[in-house]
Amino acid sequence: MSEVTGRPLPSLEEPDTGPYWRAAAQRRLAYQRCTQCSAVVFPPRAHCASCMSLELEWQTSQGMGTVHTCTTTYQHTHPYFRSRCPYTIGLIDIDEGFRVFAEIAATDAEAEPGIRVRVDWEEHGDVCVPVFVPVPQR
Amino acid sequence: MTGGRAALAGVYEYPLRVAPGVSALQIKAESAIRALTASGLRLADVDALYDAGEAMTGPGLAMPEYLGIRPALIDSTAVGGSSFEFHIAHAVDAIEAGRIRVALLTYGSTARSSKRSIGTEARLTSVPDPLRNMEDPYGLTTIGSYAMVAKRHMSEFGTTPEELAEIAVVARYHALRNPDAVAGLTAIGMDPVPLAAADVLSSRLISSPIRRLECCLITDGGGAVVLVAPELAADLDVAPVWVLGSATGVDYSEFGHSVLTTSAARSGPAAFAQAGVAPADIDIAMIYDSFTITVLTILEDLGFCAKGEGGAYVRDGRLRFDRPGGPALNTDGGGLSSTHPGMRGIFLLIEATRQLRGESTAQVPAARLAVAHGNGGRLGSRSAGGTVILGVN
Repeated sequence: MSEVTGRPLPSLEEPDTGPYWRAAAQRRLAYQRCTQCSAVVFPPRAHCASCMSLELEWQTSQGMGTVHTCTTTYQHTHPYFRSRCPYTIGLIDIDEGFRVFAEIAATDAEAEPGIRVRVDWEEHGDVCVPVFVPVPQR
Repeated sequence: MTGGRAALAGVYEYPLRVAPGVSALQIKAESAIRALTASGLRLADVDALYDAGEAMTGPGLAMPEYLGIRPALIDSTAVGGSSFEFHIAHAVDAIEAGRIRVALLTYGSTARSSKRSIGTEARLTSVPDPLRNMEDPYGLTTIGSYAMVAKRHMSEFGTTPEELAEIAVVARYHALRNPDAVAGLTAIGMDPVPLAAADVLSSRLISSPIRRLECCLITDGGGAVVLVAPELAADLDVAPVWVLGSATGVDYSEFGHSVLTTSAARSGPAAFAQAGVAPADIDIAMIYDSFTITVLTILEDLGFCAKGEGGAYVRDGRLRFDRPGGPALNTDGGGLSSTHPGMRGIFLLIEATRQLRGESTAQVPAARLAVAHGNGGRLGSRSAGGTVILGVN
């Protein structure tokens, strides 16, 4: 009845976002930058919405960011996520200027908008999933 | 006012919140027949059909045949719970352009009888699109997405759980006056009793900070709305309710853009400007209440109060139908305590119309102006919003 499946894993072949996940497999948090106007482009796609350029290049982030907001989930219908409850997810504003949605390894009491986090990696064979961990405030 | 851009004619709300053995399509068709009959119109008069596709795929092809009509215009815009406000905005444009005269909107769902867990599903995709391929590994639920908005609002502005709970308290207060809502609460196993903020705050956490009684119900249900050209309004069997303004928008989360701003920040001012009225003029506020935070942020974005002041604005029962100082909020009981079969937008139009005809169970005396704001998708992720301003002479 309550068979626990694993975390749903991303496609490494999806045309826009496959490169992001292939970088993640090497523990790199990747994002795109427009070669014409330098705008940061995220989530991954093939065009720059600012200047309409089709020439983008991949960059690697330092992996540091600030939590814009978050929530700790206590109820879920999916077997894997139900087994993980309570677990925290959030929107993280990465220092290079893009916003990532991801899991945050923090309790409900620890996770708050404004806390600093850094990327860490959860291995699943040929793919790694970013999970952010809180870093001590200076 | 002497008239508007188009007139709402008959409206119908399917009364049952639990309807075993009935299909969503049957709810849509029955509602269509009853709304058209109330208008004094025939199915064959419908020359524009609007359908959000909630009851079948490819509704543009199949719904005309199922209903038995051959409309000149078909619009299957599907933006979740806000689809119906988008449909009104599109239909008004088509009426003004002289292309159509009678538009029909229908909705039907058996979410309750089908045992759908709308709020706590992950909705994983088998063939990922790029956006979902970034999100699916983390299992974001609908409630979780809205919870991120609530968490930010509380953190940035000091909004309290008690203030958010007030929205659910007011909804229940109104629902208990609505016999269909009372029967519905009983049918889904909830006691039809008044709520206090303490009741809301002691219900279980679903996704922090959202608790169970801050979440809309999951019901069966549906309805229909008929919109006609101004020249037909005088011949209706019902008093016309005029569409004075309508506008739509979309929004999504990205770096540098707070999750606290919704598409209502654009559709609201545009619709109010078109109508030539201001939020302070509004008697009835039908605001999509999937969750308490949905109402709070949309009230701010529509201009009922400044961004960040929603918590103070909703305090002390200000939005009850029998209190001065603000519009009456969700007087049918809302998605929180009356009905939410998955897409609530059509019920906002239906109850606003009932209020402006003096037919609500929580009637505001001499109500003249109403706003219906539908919200679709997920605040905190990506969402759509449609604002419709309605009025009577």
